[in-house]
Amino acid sequence: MSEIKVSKLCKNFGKNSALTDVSLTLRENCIYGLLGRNGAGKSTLLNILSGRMFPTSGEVTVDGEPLTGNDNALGKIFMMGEQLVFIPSLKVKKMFEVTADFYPDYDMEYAMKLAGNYGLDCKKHIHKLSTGYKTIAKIINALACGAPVVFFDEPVLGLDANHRDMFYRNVIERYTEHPATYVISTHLIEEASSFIERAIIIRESKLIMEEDTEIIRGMGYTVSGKAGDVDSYLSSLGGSSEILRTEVIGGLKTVSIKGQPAGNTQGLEITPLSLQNMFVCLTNENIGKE
Amino acid sequence: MKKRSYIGMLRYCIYQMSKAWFVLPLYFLGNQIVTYIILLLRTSSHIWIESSMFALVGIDALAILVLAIFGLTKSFEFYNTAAACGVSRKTSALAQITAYGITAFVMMGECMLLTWLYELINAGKSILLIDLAYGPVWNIAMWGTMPAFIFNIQIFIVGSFMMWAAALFGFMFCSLYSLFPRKVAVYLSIGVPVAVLAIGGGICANWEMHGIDSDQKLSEIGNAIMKILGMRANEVIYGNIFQGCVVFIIIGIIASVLGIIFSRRAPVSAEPGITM
Repeated sequence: MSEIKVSKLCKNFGKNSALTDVSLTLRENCIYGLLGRNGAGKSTLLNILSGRMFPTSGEVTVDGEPLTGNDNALGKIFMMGEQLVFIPSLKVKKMFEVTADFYPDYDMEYAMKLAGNYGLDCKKHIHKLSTGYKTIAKIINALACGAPVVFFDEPVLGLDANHRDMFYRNVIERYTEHPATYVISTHLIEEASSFIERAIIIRESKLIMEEDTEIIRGMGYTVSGKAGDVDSYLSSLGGSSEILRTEVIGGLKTVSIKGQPAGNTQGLEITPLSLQNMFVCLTNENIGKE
Repeated sequence: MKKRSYIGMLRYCIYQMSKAWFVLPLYFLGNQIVTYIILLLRTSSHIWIESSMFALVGIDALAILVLAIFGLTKSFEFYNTAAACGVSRKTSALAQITAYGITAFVMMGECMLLTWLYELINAGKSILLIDLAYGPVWNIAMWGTMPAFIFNIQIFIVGSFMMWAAALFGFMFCSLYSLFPRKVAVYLSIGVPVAVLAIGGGICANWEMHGIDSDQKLSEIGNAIMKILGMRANEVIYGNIFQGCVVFIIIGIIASVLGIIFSRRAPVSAEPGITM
């Protein structure tokens, strides 16, 4: 069992607040998507949850044990950060071996297999790798580490479309074979939405939602059609529905609405909200404005 | 403390620090090259002597600076790796302290081995023990000659002290870092040697005021320490080394300041306040 509980977490950098009163529980064996706009506090949250940073206030526990200064709790977590934390002069294989020294369930065979699949030369020094391959080396290390909780902070930075696709498939495969809790912080929501089970959405340092992606998708819908028809539909709803977003292109109007479709929708196209659309609606400061 | 985390971290630190084990012979080599150039030139020109002295002292200063920065920056790097691999700061600090200790002992071992080699080669010969890094030049200037093949024994001894200086700063910093935030740890790393220097300076001044030769007194203390360590006491050499240690501390302070600058560039840190 590896459940992480976060209660009333706050983090300030001088006068700037990076996280404000964040409380959440990361369930065991679940894939989370950590979503938020640039500077929302995603990396700060992951760095605190992995023990790299200390909160200004609040508490993080792993299976009931406090995280800070606790090797047992910290040993259940692995974080793949944006930046390289290993000494760059290390060879890739040595980096794997070093990590294996800390994580008893490290799967070296799997790491080498993945390296082969990605075309990563394990004899190379890390600093001699291209940006993409540095990311690949970190991804492989994270997937093979065998920790019950793995955080990925922007894991596909610098990866081409093929490698991103490989990564997503690897995450699903690994998760199926060796279930663990994965928290993936990403801006490429559409790409990751196929396998994210729950989404954590942060807006301006505050947690605004932590929910199953299916439920989030069912929270709203999009109505598209001629502007007049859409306006008529909106009028039929009265003031009962919350308009999340409105777009007008030429004579066509698209409106994202919270809730379920109701009334006469003839001549209109009704589509469920994608996770990305919902995210944009929830984190856009100009909600409802044309 | 988790045994696996400690052993893992210790292995990683020693693996990284083992690269420093080559610094002492390389440092010696650099020093010897300059010495031999002077010997080859066999010149009594004062310009040559002066510039060579600067070159030798420069090599010393550079080596000390590199090692002191090594001590501090390695600590940062080790903390980063430890944080990535789920190791607490306390466990990381303990592993680092052990690794610094082992490295310093290896360096002392190197020093002893080279000293033994020196004595083996020069058995039965009358050797001029030269005075710190600029000794060879000084001797050329004084006597116009040098033994054809000379090992600068003092450089070895001083060299091992350099690693102790690096270890000292790394040790001090990481110990403090396990207890305090980064900035406090760095300030204390600088503040403690400054305080030691100030107190030491005060004591020396007090001796002088009471008619005691502080150089003589420091040499006596240096010799006493060397006797405790089981080494031969030599008033001039060990007195110089003892004073040399003070120089290392000063250079270590400069390195600490540089450490602050470098620390801002540290990729990730377990320390609050660093923007990710």
